[in-house]
Amino acid sequence: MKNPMNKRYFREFRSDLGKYIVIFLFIVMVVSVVSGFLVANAGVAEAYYSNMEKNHVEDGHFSFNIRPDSAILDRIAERSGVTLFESDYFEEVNDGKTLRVYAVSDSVNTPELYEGRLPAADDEIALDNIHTLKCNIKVGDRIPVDGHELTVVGLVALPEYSALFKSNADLMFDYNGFGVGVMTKEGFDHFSSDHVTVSYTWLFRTAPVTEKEKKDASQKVLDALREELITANTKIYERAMAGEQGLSMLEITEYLPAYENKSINFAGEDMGGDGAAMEIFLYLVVAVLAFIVAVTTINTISKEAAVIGTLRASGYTRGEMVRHYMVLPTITFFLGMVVGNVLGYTSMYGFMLRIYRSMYSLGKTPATWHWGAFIRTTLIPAAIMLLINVTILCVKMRVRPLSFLRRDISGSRKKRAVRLSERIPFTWRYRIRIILQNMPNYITMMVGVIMAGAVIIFGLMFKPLLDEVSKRIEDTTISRYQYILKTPEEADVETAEKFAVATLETSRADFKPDEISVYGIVEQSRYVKKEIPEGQVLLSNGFMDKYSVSEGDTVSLYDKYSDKYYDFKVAGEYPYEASLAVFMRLDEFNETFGKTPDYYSGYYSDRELDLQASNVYMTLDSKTFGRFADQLWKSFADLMGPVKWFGVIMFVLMVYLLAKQIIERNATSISMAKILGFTGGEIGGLYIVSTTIVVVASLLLAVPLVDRLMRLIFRTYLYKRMSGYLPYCISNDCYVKMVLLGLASYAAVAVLQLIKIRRIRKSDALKDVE
Amino acid sequence: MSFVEIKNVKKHYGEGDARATVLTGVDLSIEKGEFCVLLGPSGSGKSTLLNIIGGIDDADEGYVMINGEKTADMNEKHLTRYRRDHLGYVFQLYNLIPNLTVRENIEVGSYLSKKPLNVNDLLKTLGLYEHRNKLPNQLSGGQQQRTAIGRAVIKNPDILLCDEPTGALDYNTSKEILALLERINSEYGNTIIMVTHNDALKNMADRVVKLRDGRVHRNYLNEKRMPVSEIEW
Repeated sequence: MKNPMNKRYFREFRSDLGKYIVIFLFIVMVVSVVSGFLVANAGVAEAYYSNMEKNHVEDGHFSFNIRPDSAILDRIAERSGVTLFESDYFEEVNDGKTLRVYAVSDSVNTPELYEGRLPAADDEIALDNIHTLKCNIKVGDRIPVDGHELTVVGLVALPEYSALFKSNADLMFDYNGFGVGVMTKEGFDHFSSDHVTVSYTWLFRTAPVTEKEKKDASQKVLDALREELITANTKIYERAMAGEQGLSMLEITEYLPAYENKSINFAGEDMGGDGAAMEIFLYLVVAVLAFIVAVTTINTISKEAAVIGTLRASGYTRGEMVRHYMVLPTITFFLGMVVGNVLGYTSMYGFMLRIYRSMYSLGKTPATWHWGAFIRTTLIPAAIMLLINVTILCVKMRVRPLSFLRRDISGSRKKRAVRLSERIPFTWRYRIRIILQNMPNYITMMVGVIMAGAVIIFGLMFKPLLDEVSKRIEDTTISRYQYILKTPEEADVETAEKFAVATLETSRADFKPDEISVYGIVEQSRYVKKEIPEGQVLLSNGFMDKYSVSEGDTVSLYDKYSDKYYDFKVAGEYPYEASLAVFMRLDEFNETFGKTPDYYSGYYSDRELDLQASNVYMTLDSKTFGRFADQLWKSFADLMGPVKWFGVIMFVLMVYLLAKQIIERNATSISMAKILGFTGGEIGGLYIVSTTIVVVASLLLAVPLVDRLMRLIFRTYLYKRMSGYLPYCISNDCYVKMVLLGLASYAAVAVLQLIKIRRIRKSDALKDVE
Repeated sequence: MSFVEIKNVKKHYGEGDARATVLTGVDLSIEKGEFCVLLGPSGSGKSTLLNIIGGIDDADEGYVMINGEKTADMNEKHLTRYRRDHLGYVFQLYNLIPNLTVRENIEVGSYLSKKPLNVNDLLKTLGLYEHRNKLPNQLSGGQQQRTAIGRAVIKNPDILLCDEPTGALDYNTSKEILALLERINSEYGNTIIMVTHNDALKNMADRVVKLRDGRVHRNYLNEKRMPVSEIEW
């Protein structure tokens, strides 16, 4: 026979509908957000990689100042084992916005159609979908390009432009000021060749697999290019010397292998990092909810203690009782998770996708089933919930049947009343008694308020934090200009100071790998104003902090291209926020990395240097640093903005639920107080003030505790799961806002409590126990 | 050997100055099918003895053996299984599940049993058939206690333990409940051990055990049981 106790479930559910709805909504909210995010993240990653593979993303490209002989190209292709494709482009600058136009290719960098169709006629163009979104251009619009009027017939995603970097030297993409488009070959040829950049892309005939193989294979292309350039230019020189007019030397204006191309790689590297933060958020909320559920269940158990005692005495097992009281919360949790996942895969997925789509140009992104997201949004939270509740219930059910019958289930041996001085006014003693009597509820409320506070801080902290990062980056800039060179070039400016730089990776198993810039600094540098001891290095403050490195430690860094490890002994810290960096002496740098003694690869300078553009790989100035922080914030703000409101909702629902429990538990006392002549307002003054004291104390206590919690999260989780470094600093304003938001939302709960107290009837105290 | 054997059972509560001795060494035997009344003033230890027999409290010394099995030798799981299979409990407060109907509250008991009685028959025996779909708060005190008895009896337990089952009821309703217990004892043959402080009820029992100061003051068998309907108090 079915357990007749099962018939209680629906009736229990109906009688405590408010509680279950609150729990359900909570779960739906948090699971839908996190699942939407994780699924969008996975979908976007899939779209990104499949777009690159399906549409034959280039393995690299190079450009010349003039068109070279096809024989030169043939030899380059032959020597380096690649297939070359013409990929000329021209640029149209209009209203400060640059549009780069290519001819459609079906062999390499094939556009992925997002909307409309590919161009078929000479006066048709298909534009990158994200740039058009930002510039409000739609299919069917006509746009002026270099004196021609072109019709936009389609929106596309080009696999080599998933992030719209105009130049690889840019620190951040710029989808407002830069876009790309494709035309038919015939249409493209209508434009003046004067404006066209001669460019070629290559695909390896045998695809390299590892990073090192990619680098070596690309190096072969560069070597072949250099040698062919020398041969070609020697011939041009000889022809010029023979009196031939109008000859130009052949120059390489750009050489960029795919593994270094930010337009290709940036989106892929950016994906997934925020997932770690979202997961923490989910688990925090689930833990709070699990405790709330446990407290409400314990309240039910207290209420039904005598019944449980009778059932236990009659032979019901502890397991049967635990299962009985777990069923409704578990069903509510699972239903919430199912609905949350459905919403996550539908509306929240769309919302999250729009955030990604507002940053990256990707192909169509299907919402595919994602086991990882399912495990992280359903199974792990369910396990947390079950673990917390089963543990608490099992402990509670250990109480003997006789104790249940005597309604003595507190578990504490001594049940003596806490002595309160008679000098404390009666109303305050009453309030203190309420707090003491409802201690488990209030402790859970405190933990919940602190956790909700942490969520609110999570939503509030990032804008001021990134402002601070931006400021610190500017404050610790080594020089106003930093040039990184492709080819060494002497700068005849006194303030220019040579340095060398290499990029290595951290290799700690417990951290996600970080790129580390290793700088070789000249002795008595005018820019790096701290002496670097011989045989040792200085680490940027972020490196020291993130990896908890101390003076005297040795750090080991990995070069993925040469598959080598380098050990550095740490002499101390250098304040530098722009990246995670190692500073060593230039001569030691050159020795360590096998360079010639006079090797350098960049300049620090306080004045702008007049270097040949083709020799410069990247120029960093205060503007680019500022842009970095702005961009980072823009992408993060969309995500974190709603989080603080989620924290507020969490706060309100949780305080409401627990305060409701306290009032329900004391309904008989409240009813009796009414019989004795207390007014609803006076009773509210007793019960609501008690809860208010706890809420205010919790909010104040939350300030130092959230600070500690956040530090712990940064150190033990975020730092290990996210690349790069964010210093831990939360502005005091955030805490003030957190307390004010908490108080304002509690005011609403207090009104609901008062209404509930007023609704308790005098007859409730007099009715039968059953 | 008797069906229920109680040997030198002692029980204390509290420690140090607060230590109170409730049972100072109880020896008692009850035969199968007997209706046994435990009598005594408040604090004489009768409820404690009943709880030790029922395995929901422990003796500090001595033991209780039921049908050859010592309850003290059973672990928690075994004891629960034992209660499930052999014991039924009725308390002064009915402890019914408020959101289950009369019938469902009784089914809570039958779920535990491998050999339950027929619910409809029992509802009729209890005089609750008409009320079977009511919730406990729609019943009188007597009807609620009858439901509680039904929940205990439906299991067809070997022993029915009743702790002041009429303590919260008026005279007429108490008589009704006691008559019901009498009937159950004769119809189903369960051993019934009932705690009461009402001395008049000794006449309805087969065995009368009077406790005083934690020990058995008197233990005797009535030659003839008097029907409850003839007992006045």
